[in-house]
Amino acid sequence: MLALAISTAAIINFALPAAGRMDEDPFEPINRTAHAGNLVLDRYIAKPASEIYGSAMPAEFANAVQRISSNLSLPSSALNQFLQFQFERGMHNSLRFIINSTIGIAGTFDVATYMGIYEYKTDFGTTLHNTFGMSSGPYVVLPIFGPSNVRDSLGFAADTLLNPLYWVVPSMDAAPVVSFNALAAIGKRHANATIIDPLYYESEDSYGQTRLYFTQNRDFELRGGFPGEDYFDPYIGTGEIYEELFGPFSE
Amino acid sequence: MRNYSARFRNNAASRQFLTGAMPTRRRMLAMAALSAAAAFCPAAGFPLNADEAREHVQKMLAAFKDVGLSQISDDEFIAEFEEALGKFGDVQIIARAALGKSWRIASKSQSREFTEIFQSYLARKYGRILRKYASREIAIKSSRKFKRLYEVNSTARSASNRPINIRWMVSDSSGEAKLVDIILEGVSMLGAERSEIQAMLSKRSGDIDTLINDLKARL
Repeated sequence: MLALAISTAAIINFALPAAGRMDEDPFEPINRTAHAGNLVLDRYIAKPASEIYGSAMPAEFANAVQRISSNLSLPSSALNQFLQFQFERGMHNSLRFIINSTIGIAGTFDVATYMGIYEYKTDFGTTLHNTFGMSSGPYVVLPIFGPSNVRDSLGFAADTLLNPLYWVVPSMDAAPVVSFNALAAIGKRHANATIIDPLYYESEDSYGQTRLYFTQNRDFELRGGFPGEDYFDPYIGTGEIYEELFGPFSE
Repeated sequence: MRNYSARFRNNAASRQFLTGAMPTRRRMLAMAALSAAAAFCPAAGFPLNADEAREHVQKMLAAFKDVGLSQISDDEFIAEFEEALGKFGDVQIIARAALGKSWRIASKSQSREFTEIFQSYLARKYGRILRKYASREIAIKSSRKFKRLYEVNSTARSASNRPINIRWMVSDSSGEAKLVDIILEGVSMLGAERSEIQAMLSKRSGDIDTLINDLKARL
């Protein structure tokens, strides 16, 4: 399965043009439709639900849900770290999964941190970038799951399939899996309200702002060091180029 | 400049070059004025270094230490942030970059009014984000030269103790140290506002007055 994902990624990587400019958005019309749909879902379901969740649920319960959810992402993180040749981090995540799944009762309690074994988050999109040198490809808005790009959508699919919930629980019992994931997603929406609310509701161009936020933040995660070479210097060419853009310099 | 144009006056190709790409007389005058100003301005010949850029940000941060822990209200924090932006930042240059090409068609009073409103808008928007997102003291880690700017790297902690990376971009292009951008977890305020204000302008068919009034109404 993983081999299939990697070979698909390799094929797509050849088909993709080299890292495009950030303002290129070939899927814009369909992305805008998906974004508008996601906004409706957020306004009427995710946002109110996350507000109720945040105020009605005891913080300890919400934290336990987040811990279980992040415990379930560990096998995928560990495997990705090995694929990225980050062996120490991979070992941390593997040991963490074993300890917290058993002594920590399916991840409800974070025993590993007390033992000095930490979580290092990563994903398959990062592996495709770091190990296989895959460029991001165009920006993509996934229905329900939100902003992504071609590479990270593939990564997201692979990570989802690597989640133990999908191997342990038979497909007949999808309901508890779906409800747990929904609960975890609502908790995450609540924790990130500070970032999501201004993007979705305080901007006149929420599509553009969300795209910019996602692209720059993801770039920062992968490369660690923003600003990049294309960083805009507001003083650039205070002489001719500047005046070409903005008019005479003096007030 | 006069010799230059005289020498090529009778050359057809260069005439086209002169009318096409050469600056207009007005712009030439402005450039001459600028270079004259540069010659007389002592600060222009005195570039900043990374440590000074760091000090500049340090001074600014001293104004709002312990972001989340202090007892002041959100409004008081925003007022302080707005004052700090005016004092330590080059709001005019950020406003100009956000308005983009419309800056050149804006009247003097329009650009002045926009800059004023834009400062309050920035303070409100980013003061709130900064306060909620980075809710603990901001610690400066390092600084370096980046192109013609200086990047001051700092870390804060979120309410859930996650480290938040904040980079402060300082420029000395105006002759003194000025903050021009705050980059939160890789996301540039300058970039976001250039995109947002351009989108707002195009929605209003480029009408700067409507933009100013609508921004005012939002405050």
